[in-house]
Amino acid sequence: MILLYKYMFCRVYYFYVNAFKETDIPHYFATAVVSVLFMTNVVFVMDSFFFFFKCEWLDFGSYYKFLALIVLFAALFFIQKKQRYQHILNDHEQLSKRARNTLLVISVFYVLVSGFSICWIGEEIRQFHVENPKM
Amino acid sequence: MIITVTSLLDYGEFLVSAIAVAAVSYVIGAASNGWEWNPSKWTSGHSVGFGVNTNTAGNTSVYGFGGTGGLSWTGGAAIGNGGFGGGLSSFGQASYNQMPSGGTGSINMRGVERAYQHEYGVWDNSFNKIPDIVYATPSPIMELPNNSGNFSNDYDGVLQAAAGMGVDVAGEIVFSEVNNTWLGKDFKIRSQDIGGNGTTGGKFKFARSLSTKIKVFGGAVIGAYGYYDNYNQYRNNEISRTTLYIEQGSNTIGFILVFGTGWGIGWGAGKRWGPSKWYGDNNYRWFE
Repeated sequence: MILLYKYMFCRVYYFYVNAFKETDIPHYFATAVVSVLFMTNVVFVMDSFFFFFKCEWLDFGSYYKFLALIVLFAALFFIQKKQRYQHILNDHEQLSKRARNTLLVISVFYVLVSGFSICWIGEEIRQFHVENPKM
Repeated sequence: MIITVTSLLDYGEFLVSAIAVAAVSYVIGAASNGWEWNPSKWTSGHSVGFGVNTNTAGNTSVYGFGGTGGLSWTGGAAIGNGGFGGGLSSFGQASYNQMPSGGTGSINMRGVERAYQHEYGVWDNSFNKIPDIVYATPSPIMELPNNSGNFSNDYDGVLQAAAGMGVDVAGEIVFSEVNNTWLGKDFKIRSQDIGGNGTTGGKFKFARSLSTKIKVFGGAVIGAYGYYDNYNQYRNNEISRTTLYIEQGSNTIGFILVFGTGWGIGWGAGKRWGPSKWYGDNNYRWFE
């Protein structure tokens, strides 16, 4: 999983560099994008738990934005400390072509599954709210 | 009439907000003119403008979004050809009809002023509040259990649009190819004919790089929040499925630099304060 995140980090990193011709903050941008993907999984897991076990906690969803901020800053701190992003980029260069292709397929699959899962749980929670409207 | 603190507070957040915008605009204007605090000495063509206008109802409205086109007392100046101020009239009408501005992202501050009037009331010349007019029935598409027919009780959409505009304005102030200007480390705006030095920073290395960072990173954060906010409202059954798709689509368009900002502002303002029988709050109060 970490390898997958590292791979996606590098893909976003090089996308930013190529698209915006700017090399000062691509690692911040890539970190933010990967953080969003990571948060998608966190939200899915937490929403699933709340929905199936503790429906009265579903309102916690309003606080995900703060959780996302904490995750983002933690990730930025992690990636900046000791210039870890350089190591990640170096590791990426060491990957074989076959490994990269495999990771590309997995990452696309991962993004699609993440998107689908968040939409699915959102639908389920919405249905719950339809049946139990707030007064 | 003596304006006391109490009457000032009674005047509502509208006035407080207006003063805040004016103060910020004034400081930006001063900063962009080498910290010259006298507006009359600001150099035309190299200033970030701010303006104050009093309309017929006696409301003082502040136009705090001037641009690099020069000082303006009646409205924001242009940022870019056909930019934020370039289509003063087109945006106003467009936003009320749920349509974006004509491809250039223009804004009419009159719309913002009306928005304030809508929310905080209208006062006459003697600071007496004019009674509210009964609102129209909200659009049918908004009639959901959790929001009693109102599109949204908060201002998230408008605030996001305003934040997006702030990001774009800041980026354009720092480096604008259209206006042929860039902002140095010394907070002075220069022509792009000048390359810069150690004190001012480089035109490309400092200004263009910073402008890109502001626009891309700021825009991405605002856009991501927009996606989350729409999802959260849908999840809580505060908006319909159709609305979710429309809103997410609009949010995606908002990623386009400058034009996307204009779209976002027009969309947010029109939805909240515009007349429409198919979308938004269907508020035609300003057209009576």
